[in-house]
Amino acid sequence: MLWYKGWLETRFRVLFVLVIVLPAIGFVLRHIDPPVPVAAVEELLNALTFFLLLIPLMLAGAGIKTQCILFGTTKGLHGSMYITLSLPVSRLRLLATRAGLGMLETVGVFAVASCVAWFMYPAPRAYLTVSGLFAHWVTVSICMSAFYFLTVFLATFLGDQEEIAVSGILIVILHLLSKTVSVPSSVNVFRAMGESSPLFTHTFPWASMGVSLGAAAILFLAAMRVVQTREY
Amino acid sequence: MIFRLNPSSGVPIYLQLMEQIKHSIETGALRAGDQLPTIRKLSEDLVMNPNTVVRAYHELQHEGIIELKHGSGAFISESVAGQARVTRKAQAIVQSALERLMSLGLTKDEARRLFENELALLRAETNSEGGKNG
Amino acid sequence: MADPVIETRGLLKSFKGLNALNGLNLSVPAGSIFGFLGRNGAGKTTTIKLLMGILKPDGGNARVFGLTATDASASVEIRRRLGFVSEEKDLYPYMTVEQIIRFTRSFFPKWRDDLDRRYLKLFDLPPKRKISDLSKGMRSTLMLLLGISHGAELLILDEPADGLDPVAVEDMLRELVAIAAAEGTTIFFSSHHMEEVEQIADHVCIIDGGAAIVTGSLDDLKARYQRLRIVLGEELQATIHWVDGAEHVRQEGRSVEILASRNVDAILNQARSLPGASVECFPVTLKEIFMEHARRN
Repeated sequence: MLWYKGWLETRFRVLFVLVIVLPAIGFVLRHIDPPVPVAAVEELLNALTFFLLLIPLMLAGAGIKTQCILFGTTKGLHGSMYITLSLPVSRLRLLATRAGLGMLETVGVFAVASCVAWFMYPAPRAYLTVSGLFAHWVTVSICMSAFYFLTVFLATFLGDQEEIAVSGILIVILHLLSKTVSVPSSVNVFRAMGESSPLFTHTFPWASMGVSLGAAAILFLAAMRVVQTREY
Repeated sequence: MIFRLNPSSGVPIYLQLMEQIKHSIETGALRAGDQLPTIRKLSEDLVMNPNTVVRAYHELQHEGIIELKHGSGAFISESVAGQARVTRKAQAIVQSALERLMSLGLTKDEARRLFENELALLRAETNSEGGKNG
Repeated sequence: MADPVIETRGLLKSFKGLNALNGLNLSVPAGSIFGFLGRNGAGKTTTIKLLMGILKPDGGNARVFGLTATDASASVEIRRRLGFVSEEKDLYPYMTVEQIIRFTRSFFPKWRDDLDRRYLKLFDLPPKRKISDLSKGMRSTLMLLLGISHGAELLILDEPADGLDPVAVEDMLRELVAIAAAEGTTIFFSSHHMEEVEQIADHVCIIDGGAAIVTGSLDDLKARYQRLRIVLGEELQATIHWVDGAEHVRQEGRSVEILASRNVDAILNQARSLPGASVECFPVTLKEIFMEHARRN
């Protein structure tokens, strides 16, 4: 029932993120009115990508460190953490459940928002195939995982909403670095979600996906270590 | 069975319970062969620690006042009939002692204080010795 | 003799340089009702958190059910067998009473449906109400329900009577006593309320400055501690050096009052040897024992 509890805690957050992301995707799709040059589409998607990273950012932190409910409760450690910690459940399982749930929510929100927008704006259908979009969804979801677990890791020791701010700043920095420092495009995770996406290349950017998953795994292990040694 | 215990009195609760059971026997509220409540029922009714009830019952058994029949419960001993005789004798002693104290000019309160004090001193000494040897 | 359910030896814990626990030794016998007393900040909640695996000690060791409380997997097993009521009584505000019962039940295969139904009725808890709409007293009783209903061998309760009115306190004490009598559950509870502790505890420990200063069976303590009031024939010029056990001596004119923690016999003899002394002896309540020790520190 940990998943159920997690859902009860995050369902409004999920709705909130959906409400923010849906118009953004809709906006992009509305502007893909053929015949628009591929370069323009790529640019739009790049911009969207950045915006989409909001999803893991907002959904990753909930309940990792405290029982915080977004825009709600007390500062600092909420008392109900003590009952959770008094249950015969290992801290690892608590972390894994919340992280897993948040990841599912992230991927789910993106999927739902994309589907809804797709139905609302039929114009791009001339351009973008369903299979292409599906591949894009898979790619973006996997690439998002690195940023998701970065936020999870930060949430294990930062305050209630601090991890969102810090993570956001880090992502912006990473994005700038990816543009300025010469990173081989095959491993550029940001590009994989935008111009290197299967939508255009018709192949999966395996290297970038691998890098993302690798980073996600390392960050998750780090989060595990923090949670195990934490004192409440 | 109505017992009144005072947890804050400073007198151990098991002793208070023993006192009240003995008093019930003396007044005739409990007679030889009567059954006492189970440990569980008594502790719930009086909201007291079941281990305390156990201790009181065991001490009473040790003194021969009750019998603990395995499986059926706690019963007032048949021998309390004999106890009644001792009680009557003791009553006579206390009555004559009081008469003599009154004739000395003591008030009832003064007499009571004297008795309570001597008893308290006695109890303190017994406990102290028990602590040394035990 | 069965092993103690809770045992700590030389437990040490400090926060930012402040000592919360200073070598705490505790031994809670199986099947006992154990009262854990102390002033605010004395270390009660820290001790409880250490037993639950929420904190790790800086030194010493703590065992529950014979298992090491500091070992992560042992701690999960420990928590499976105990029920807990926290000091804050904060539950999940977004859940209803019903939901949190269902939620908690899923972790404990030995859940007693009869008990949770009984306590719902007894404590008058509305099943469909959100926890955020419950008073503190109702949250207290709900937490108690959750702790008792899962068939725990040990109950660790941090200020369980907090926020409860006298009738509810009595009901709670009665249920604790009933569960102890019926199941042999060990009950370890911290409290400020001496009367409750005196009513149902058979063992107590008074903690101060992070260490146990008074510990033992309540009956023994009440037998050992006596208050002596001595009236002397004449005022004494010199102060007397009383034998060991005379904890707190107050001398005013021809009256001397002593709180004795043991050795009453020897103290009585010493008192009686003073010129013209008359001695009176009074039993001591738990509150007085507590106040004397608290005042001293």
